[in-house]
Amino acid sequence: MKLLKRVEGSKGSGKAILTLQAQDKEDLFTLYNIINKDDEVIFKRSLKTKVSDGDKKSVSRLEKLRVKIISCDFKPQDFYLKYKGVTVEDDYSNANQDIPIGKFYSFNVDIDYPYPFTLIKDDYTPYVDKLVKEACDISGRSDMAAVVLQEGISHICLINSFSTVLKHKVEYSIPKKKRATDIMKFDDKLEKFYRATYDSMVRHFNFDTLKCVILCSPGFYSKTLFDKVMKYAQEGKNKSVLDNSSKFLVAHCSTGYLQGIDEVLKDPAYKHNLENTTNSKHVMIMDDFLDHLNKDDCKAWYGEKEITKAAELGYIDTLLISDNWMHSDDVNVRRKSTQLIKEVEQAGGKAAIISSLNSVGEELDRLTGLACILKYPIPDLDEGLDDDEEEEADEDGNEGEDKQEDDEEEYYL
Amino acid sequence: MSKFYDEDDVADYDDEVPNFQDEDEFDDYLNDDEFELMKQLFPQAKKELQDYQGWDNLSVKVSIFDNNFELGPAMVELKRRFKKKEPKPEKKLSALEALARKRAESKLNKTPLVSTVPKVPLLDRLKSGDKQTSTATKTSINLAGRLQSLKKEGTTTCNDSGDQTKKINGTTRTKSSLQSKTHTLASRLANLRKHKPGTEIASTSDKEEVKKDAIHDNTRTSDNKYHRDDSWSILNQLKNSSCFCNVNSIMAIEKTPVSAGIADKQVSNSTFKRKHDDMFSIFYPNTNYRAVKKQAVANFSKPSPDDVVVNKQKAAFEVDKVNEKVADLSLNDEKTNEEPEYVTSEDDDNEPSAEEPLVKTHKKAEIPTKPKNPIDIASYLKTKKPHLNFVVLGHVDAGKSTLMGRLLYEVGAVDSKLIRKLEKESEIIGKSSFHLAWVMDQTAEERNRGVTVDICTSDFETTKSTFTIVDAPGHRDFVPNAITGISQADVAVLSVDCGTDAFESGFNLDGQTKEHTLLARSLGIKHIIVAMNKMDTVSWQESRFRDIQSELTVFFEEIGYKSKDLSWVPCSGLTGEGIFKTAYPSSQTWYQGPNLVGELENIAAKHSTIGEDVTKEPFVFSILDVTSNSKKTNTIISGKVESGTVQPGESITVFPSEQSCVVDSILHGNDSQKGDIAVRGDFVQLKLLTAFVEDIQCGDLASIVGVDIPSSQEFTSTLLTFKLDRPLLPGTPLILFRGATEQPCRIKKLCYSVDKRKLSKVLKKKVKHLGSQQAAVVEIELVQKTRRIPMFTCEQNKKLGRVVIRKEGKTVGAALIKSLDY
Repeated sequence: MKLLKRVEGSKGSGKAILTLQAQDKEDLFTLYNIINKDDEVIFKRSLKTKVSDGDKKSVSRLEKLRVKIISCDFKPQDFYLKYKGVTVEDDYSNANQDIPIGKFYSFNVDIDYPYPFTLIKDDYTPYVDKLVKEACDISGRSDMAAVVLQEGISHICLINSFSTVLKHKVEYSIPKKKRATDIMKFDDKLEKFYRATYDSMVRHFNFDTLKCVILCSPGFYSKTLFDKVMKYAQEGKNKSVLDNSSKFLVAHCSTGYLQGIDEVLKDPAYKHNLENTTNSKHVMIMDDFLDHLNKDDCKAWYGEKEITKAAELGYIDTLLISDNWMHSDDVNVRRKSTQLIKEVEQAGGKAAIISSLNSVGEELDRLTGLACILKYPIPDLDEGLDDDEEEEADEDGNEGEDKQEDDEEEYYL
Repeated sequence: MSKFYDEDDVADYDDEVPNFQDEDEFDDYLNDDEFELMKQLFPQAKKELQDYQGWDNLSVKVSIFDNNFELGPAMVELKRRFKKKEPKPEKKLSALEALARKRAESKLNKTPLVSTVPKVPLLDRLKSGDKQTSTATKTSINLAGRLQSLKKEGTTTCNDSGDQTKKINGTTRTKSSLQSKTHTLASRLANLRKHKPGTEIASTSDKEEVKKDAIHDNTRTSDNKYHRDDSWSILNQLKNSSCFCNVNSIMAIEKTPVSAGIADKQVSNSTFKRKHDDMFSIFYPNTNYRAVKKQAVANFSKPSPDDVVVNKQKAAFEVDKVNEKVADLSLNDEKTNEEPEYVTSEDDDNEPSAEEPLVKTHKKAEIPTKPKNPIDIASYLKTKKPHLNFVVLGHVDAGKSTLMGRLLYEVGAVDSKLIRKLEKESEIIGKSSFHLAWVMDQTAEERNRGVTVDICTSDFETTKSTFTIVDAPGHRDFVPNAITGISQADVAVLSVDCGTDAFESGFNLDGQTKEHTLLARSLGIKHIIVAMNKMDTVSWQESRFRDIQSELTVFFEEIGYKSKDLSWVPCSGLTGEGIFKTAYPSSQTWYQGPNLVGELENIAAKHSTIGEDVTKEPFVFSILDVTSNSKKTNTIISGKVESGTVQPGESITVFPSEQSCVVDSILHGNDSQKGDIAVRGDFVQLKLLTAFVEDIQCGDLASIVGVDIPSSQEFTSTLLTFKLDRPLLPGTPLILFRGATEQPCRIKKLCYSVDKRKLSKVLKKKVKHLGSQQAAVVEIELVQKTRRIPMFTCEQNKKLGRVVIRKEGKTVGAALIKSLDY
């Protein structure tokens, strides 16, 4: 992303006017995170207008529009970001000249032919500032690709610091082995499967720009895939694959489904290969959180009320917050989450904003989107917060030992 | 061609009227005055044409235009062109009609004589009622004059109408009832003009008058009006009182069919400047294909969807019916989605294509089909030996495959020729001890690595009973396959490596011995035979046997197996002692029980799947593999009969794709022999006719037609957790296993926790996370929204109502399905 111009409003007002130009796919994620509802955007787009009512002819003109964002449509797997907005009066530039106020237009962020556009924000938070700075810094990029597979199924994914995007899924039904079946048929099908996976990789990956290509699977499928990829590349003289063969990382995971990628990201054995990627850092933090929860040491909590209370007390060591909180449609929610991060950081804690577009963020979203690890154990953090008391069911353990056995039977048989 | 005309151009524009393609284009063509007039006349014309079919707005407008905004002639012309919806010939009046025609004709011949001297604009206009008879120049003069008058009248007051009527009165000098009618007509026309834009003097009273007139007119048929107009002009021209009889006669035939008018105008038709056909048919660019054009014309002659709607709406508001219809009306709660209207020109956005479609379903059959050669199930069952399906479990390298290879070899299911061949082959790659395992491990991967990857089933028979072996992989990466294997079996053989330290590594350090046993317990395995394998490596020491036995017993009891569910057999897979034929070595004196096959026979007698009750239960089949021949004409599904029986000729439905197929034949055993019946517990292949292979997946269920298996995306279950590293939270990603089905899923909601020992007892109503060794009721949903799993609840089917969940390569829990949510 390019930041062409930045005008900040008077101090403390939180207003800012940015002129930005998107450059690559990752910028879409940044934009998705910083452009919120009720922000205003000035952009140019060509509009088709009919010459007159009855005529079918139309002319397209390049118009400068200023719209207020109403809703957003983001499809990460297709790199498609579209905002819907309504035109508003313009006091900053000479936009909306021939366009009436109150008309609906869409703003399509196109990374192939980018125009610079101007973003007017009323709440220019440090979080947004950080995102813009990060997006403008190309050296911090960490694009990775991953293929997670098992027999007959492979997932071809792209990983960046915001998201894990499933680009393609290859699914072949491999015949089960039988004592009577022809084993050649089985090998044929398996060969086809690897071939399809390779083809899909070549189609979706740009090996020259990727930092790392993870091949992971249970068993030896990833190793076989690596061998096959090299073989196919040599056969097809695919230079971009052969030149980047050092970027391949053959890893082990337990399943051929997407969850396998997280396993690799947090596996210490591959840490040195994957260090510095935001994604793996977040996976680690999440794992740490779950570890505390498992130990039941009262240091890990989730839920809005609990976190708010802990933040007030200044006890939070690590705050996990989903980016859904950061770019919520509700201004109050946005303000609150910004405030929360500020509080945590002032108290010496860390805040990790986790993208909801990868699996860790998805998991966090299910936990209300807010979680934390405390500095000290507080067993009664949730006391007085819950409306419905956690009733301990009556202990009627003496109800007869023999009856217990019957119930067990019921379960197991 | 320019779009607007000066008044100077008016004189010759008649020749230049183009063919219009649509209404809008025509509207553009008109100038303001004409447009305004058209706006007034058009609704009336439309109303009159209500009874006719095939007309469209454009043709009506063009016709009005061509008739110089005279409604009457235009109507006649239109009515001639279009058919009446329900022609009602009134033959009674044919005599009168003939008379009228004759008279009208005679008058028409006279008209040109007088019409050369038009002075009063209104009269011109009236005369143009039969302008077809006048020449083109005359028409243009008429029009020019009329336009002038329009301009003039725009600035004058409503007195104009009075003036005009006076003029008319002057010319007619008659005071008949007919005259009064024309009076209203004249005043109406005058008023109409006043409503031109720019002249804002038009009062509301004028409007009302116009309306009244319009209604008045509309109640009459247009022929009537035509005759009136026509007769009126004739009246003017002849100034003859004798014409009254004519008028009266014309009035008398008011209700004659249109043909009367048509006949009158037939002559004048030829004087048209433009070709009638071209003008009034649709424009079709390519005239070379006559048939196509004809078709297009035919299409346009039908009432358009709009017309249908308009007519319906009109019909709906017929006064006498309105009350009824209002009474029938009811309020519906349908919410109108008031989305803001977006500007057009958004079409250039190339939105990415939608998500992949949901599970494809086919039409399922409801009527069962009869078997081809029905056989008596009861007598068939009597001839059957007890049958047992068993799975071989154990830690990796515990010798499972070798044990099974040995077993098959000893019972004669594998001939010594194959064993010798495998022996040779295995020696070549330096793994001679694997030759027995290769009986089951056939793929190149498995042989080269010496690891079983997938399950393999094999049938064999002893004198007492029949068996199906399911050989499961031991490696932890292939536990999913082992789960498939376990779910197919009723009894398990747990192979334990009794070698020094081998048992310990397989048992203590997260080895698969424990996990497999847990899975067996969770998936409803009733009995476990512990095959104490590789006893030859520890010289058949009894102490070793007892040590392992005691350690395992503690674990078995912990997870719920009682001593009656367990049997212990010392053996050696590689050398063959304790399997079937080969006797124990002389050094083994402490074990006197049956050997492995003997023990299996005992269990088979106890847990045989063959029973009389199979006839009562519905046929359910779990699919493990799907293949089809190259032409895809028939499909072979292999799997296990979970309950009931099936015979060739019967129809089954495969879920969740809901396709019904006829079972063509049933193939049994290792060498795919055709059989007449498959009963519960059999591993068979069913050859299906007309199945959609691509919609059948491993793990799908099939049932006899008439029995539905619901498929689900979300379900509620009672979950029992095992030992966990990380707690289970809402949203935790998991992998779900049910038979051969493997799907990523996650916990949707933790409902409440229950007592592990007594599942009906609620412990905590609110659970935030689920730790090790806990039981809770949870909602689970599949991650992949396009996939549905056919499921039974635990009450419906004890075996198929169980699922196992795993996370990061470890089995974290087992669940019983309580209810399907979606």
